[in-house]
Amino acid sequence: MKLLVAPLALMLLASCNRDPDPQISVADAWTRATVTPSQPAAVYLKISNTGAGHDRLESVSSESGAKASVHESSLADGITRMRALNEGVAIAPNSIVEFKPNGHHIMLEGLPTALSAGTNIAINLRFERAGDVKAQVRVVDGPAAHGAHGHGS
Amino acid sequence: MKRLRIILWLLVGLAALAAGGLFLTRSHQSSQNVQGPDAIGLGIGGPFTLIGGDGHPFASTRLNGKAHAIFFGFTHCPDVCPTTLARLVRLRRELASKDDAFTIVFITVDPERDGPAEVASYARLFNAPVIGLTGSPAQIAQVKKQFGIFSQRVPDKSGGYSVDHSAAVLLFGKTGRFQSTIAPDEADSVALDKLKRVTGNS
Repeated sequence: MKLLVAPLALMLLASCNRDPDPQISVADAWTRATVTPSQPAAVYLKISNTGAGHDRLESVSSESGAKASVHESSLADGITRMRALNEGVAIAPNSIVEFKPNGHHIMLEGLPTALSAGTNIAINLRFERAGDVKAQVRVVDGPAAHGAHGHGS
Repeated sequence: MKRLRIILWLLVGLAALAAGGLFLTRSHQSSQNVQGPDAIGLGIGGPFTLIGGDGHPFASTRLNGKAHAIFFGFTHCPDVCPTTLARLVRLRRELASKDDAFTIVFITVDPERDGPAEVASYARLFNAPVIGLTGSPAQIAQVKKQFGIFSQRVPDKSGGYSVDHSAAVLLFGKTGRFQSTIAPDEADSVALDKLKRVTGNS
């Protein structure tokens, strides 16, 4: 048995090494305008992986110094819940992961100023394999921001 | 003869009672089938006094005269709460050209963090009339009870907390009678139909 296991393990290792690269891009990032800096903001965006390799969004940071964390909202039995995704978010090969209202979002807390519509904020997304990917987040008017429609860049 | 007449009248009375009972049961069932929450929600709502964004008491009687949509949330909620309120503002604009088809009310379930200033600025997020209300923890607890609202603090890793809470918007007619709810995962067309019924705009 041992004789069999060793070559198998080697083969597995070799296949890991040959795992293709992910190709990560981030698009359509937007958030709602806020009135006071004390109010947290939720950033929505689309993460595309056009490569054949797996990846994982590990963390997010904001150039403004605001604390950024990935959250998921869920609805069950009429109760809405919001939880931090401390393990990050898996990005499968050849997939688009959409962060949208009432689903995944990046929460920004402790922004230095309120966010006004028409401006942009810069964030950095850190992926396990693709490394850092920067994104410009469009700040849109509160009522204009509904769901995932009409926010193409 | 007299006894027979009494017995007959008793039978008539019993039949009327039975028919009435049947009718009541039927109408109760049908209202449950058609209206959903209406049948079970007859006791939802009722008079309350909270605190407005200006720091002054706000009595629920001020909502009388116009249909209103009440949503319970908290201002540190960046996703579901603004999404729900923005949707209500948008649906109100689809219903009528002006922002006056019904009143939108936001009541915090997090009175410890949300004072009058917080609910006032939150209500201003939507560039449209939204009434933000808070109160003492006891006042909020009482109103939550009256409206059948659940909420629970959930600590997060950074020492803060989030709040799990009932997600539905409650719809009331202009006399304050509870009529229906809008759930976040309900289609806009369904929500609009409900709003049309509540506002008498159908």
